[in-house]
Amino acid sequence: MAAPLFRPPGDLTDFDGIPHQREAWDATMTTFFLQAIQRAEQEVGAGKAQIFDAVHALPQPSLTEATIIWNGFPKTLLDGNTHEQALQLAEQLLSFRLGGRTVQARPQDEYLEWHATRDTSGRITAVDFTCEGPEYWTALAHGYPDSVQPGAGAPPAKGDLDAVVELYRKFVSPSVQKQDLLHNGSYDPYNAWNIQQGAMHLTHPSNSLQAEVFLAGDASVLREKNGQLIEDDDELIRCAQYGVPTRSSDPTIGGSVNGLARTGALVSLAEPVGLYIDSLDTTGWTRPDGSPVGDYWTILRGSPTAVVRARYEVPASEGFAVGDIQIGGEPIAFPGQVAEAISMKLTGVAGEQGQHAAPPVPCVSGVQPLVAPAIISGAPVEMLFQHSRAHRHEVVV
Amino acid sequence: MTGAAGGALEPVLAAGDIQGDSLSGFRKDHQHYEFLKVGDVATAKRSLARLAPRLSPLADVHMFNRLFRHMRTRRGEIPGTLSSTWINVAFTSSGLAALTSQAEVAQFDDEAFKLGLAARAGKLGDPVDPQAEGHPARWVVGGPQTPVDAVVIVGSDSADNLATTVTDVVSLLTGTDGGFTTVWSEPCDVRADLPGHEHFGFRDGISQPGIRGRLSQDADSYLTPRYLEPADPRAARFSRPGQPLVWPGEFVLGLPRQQVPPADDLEPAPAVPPQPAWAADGSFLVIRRLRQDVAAFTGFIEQTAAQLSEQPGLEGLSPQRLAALIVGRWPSGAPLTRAPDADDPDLGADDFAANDFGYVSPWGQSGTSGPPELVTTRPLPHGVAPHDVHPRPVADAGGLLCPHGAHVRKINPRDQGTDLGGPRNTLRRRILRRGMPFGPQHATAPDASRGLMFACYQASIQDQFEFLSTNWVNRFSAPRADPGGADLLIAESAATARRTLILVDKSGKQHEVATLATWVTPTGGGYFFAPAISAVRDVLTAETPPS
Repeated sequence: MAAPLFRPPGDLTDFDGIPHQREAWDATMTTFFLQAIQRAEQEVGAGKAQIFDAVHALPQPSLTEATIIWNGFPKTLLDGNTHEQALQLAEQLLSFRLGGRTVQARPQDEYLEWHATRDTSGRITAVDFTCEGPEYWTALAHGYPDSVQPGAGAPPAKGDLDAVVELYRKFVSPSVQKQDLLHNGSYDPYNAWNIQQGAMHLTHPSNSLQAEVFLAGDASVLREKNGQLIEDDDELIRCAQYGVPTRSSDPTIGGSVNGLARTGALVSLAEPVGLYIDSLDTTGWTRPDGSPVGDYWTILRGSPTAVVRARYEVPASEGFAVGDIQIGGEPIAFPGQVAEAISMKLTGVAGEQGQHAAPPVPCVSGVQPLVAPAIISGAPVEMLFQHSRAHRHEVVV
Repeated sequence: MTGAAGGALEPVLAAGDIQGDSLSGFRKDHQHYEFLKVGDVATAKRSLARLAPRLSPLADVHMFNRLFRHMRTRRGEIPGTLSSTWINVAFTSSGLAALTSQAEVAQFDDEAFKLGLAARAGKLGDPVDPQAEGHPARWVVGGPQTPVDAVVIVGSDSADNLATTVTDVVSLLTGTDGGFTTVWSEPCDVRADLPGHEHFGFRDGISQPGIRGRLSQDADSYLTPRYLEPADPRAARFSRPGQPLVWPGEFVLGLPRQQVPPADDLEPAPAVPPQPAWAADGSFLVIRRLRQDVAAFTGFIEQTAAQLSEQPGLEGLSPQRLAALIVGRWPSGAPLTRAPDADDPDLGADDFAANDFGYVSPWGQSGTSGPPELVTTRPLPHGVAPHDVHPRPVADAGGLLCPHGAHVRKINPRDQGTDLGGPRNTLRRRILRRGMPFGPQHATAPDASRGLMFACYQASIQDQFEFLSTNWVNRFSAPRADPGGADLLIAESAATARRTLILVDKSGKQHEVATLATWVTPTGGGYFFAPAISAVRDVLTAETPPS
């Protein structure tokens, strides 16, 4: 029987026709978890981490799932701004230096990003939402994410750049050309079709799968202050510094994972590991005639329970557009108004409760670097596959 | 400079100018809501000018409440021996526009207030069918056929005094020289048989935030009395056991607000000057007239309990316990995490103990292992024991004792994180509830209309009342998923009509409680703004609108 592999987010099938691509994805995710385990072990000691690789653990523990929910609109923009200011700010691209050039990314940092299509009058006609991590797309283009460098024993996947182009043409614009997506001959996550002209996948520096896995791993470490176990989500993220405390997502994810770890369980993320759109709540949304809107939400990628791409667009037969819809009497003037009604989710798993409680450790001193900047700088993360494949069983069993 | 228990010195409130119902609450046995429409504007301004000196400021209401509390502590129940009668007024956006201008109203940073409750009803989940009783088209007050510009709230300890004052005020405002017309009058009284309980039989209003702020330059002249020994680690954040302190700008415009976590909320976030400027020291008021169908609620409870009690894991589930699981408290007010199996009237009667619990940490704050020590220099409220000897709370993050969908947990997740992050974010969503029952009790007049005049004050209708209603009460997976659940007591779902609560038995197995029936129906209300008394006197009654 073949060894189990990490599945692609949303059980997407783009890797299926590419030689060794699913194995390469498994190796990538395996390494992310290995790194997360190592980060935790630095805190609690070798062999004591409560985060584990739930795919390759032997024997497989019986797992219970815990769904974690947060709002899709950036809380960091709402704090300190008026509502309208926050909606405007959500559409203003960030600029930063990366590899000697200036790139742009969206300020949408809750693992949900979007792009609005407007007509010539400025009225919104559609909003595309994505929560696909950049690692998936760079892997699809070249075999492995930019942030990892396969060692000699890694599965020899090369990706399929043409597949990337076809997906852009299907979901962003038929006008996309291969060269539009490249920078120095490689797939460029910051290409115009993914930033200014559309949203194929996540771009905000904090929005990555690696960040998600590291957050879960760091949050699996129990913390104490003055000899008292910390249980408060705000206090935990301040103590462990495992994310951005002003976001909705990071304190929520971290607090929930830590809550599972406090039961003395092994903890991990449910397969397929990913960040997902949970639901859109259109309660109180009305057509121009005041009647309730229909279901204009189309899931484009992922599975019904693991949605990674969706579009909100009124069918032409209705005779009006998204911008004509009112939410409690307010017209949809910004795509962020739709995002505010979206709940995001990921699913944690826990097993062998009561058997793995590591002693709590003191708070992190100094400022820990966030995960994401490693991706921005392009600094490669060494992958030692032979080590990881041997090690993962040692760690999780 | 710091306060007595650490943290920043709290601001001195404009106690002579802020209307008293917002920050202190009238706390009367008898209350009257007179909903009004502006007729001739000039006449209305003149009658309002005559009303302005009679409006009850925070200072008066607070001092009386303190006196009442002291006397009650010393003498026990004192019905009829101490009485005051208060008057407050608030205006809808249309009312303010009539008395000032549209341009003034446009400056308010609250779209919900500007659009009004009827326009927002669908967002709150109210019925979308115009024929449905809960649709604004059929509201008795505040709907498109029954628009409202203002509400006058009169409260009194004495029914006779209330009647006299209401007659006087209504005559002043709606008489020949009044300029207003009455749209709807709603008398409210506490239940004579069960004071403090709403019509379904549950004690209401137990959990309110403590408000930071002082009434004078004296360092300890706190609006909200502090009952915790300063040495207790909770003393800086709680005014009484289980009652977190919140900076007053979350309820009144222009005052210091809560910090955004992770910033330490012992220090306030700076006050934001309100727009328009005369809105300072005012507060947004939401009123929802909610009709309660007691027979439908009790019928559902009895029928559903009988069905559920046959399921493995829920054997013996009584109707009383099912109702408590839906509410999150027993009828006495005893919380489920301290009284999981049966009501505990002694616990429910102790205002401090009944509110002292958390969901993640038993006592609501990491690092605490018991109830806080109370000061011995201040008399405790009636019914409060100096030492909490009631059953200790049990942490319940998974919702085994108190379901995630239970009403009290939906609107106040306490120390549990939410879809917005850690629990300190929740303090920025709290409201000051001032609801009162209307209509006779069910036992004496089963066919009469009854319900709750839900009322709450806040600094932002969008971010507080509406957020709680739309994002937490109505949504299945928020504030907490796993397993989540709708607030079966008051949630509305215009889209699906079906509401589902999840119960978790002791083995961890989940049981679904779903219904299409409703027992709480909105029948009116409005979004109001209660200005400072000086703004009523100097701005709203001015012959020319402010420039």
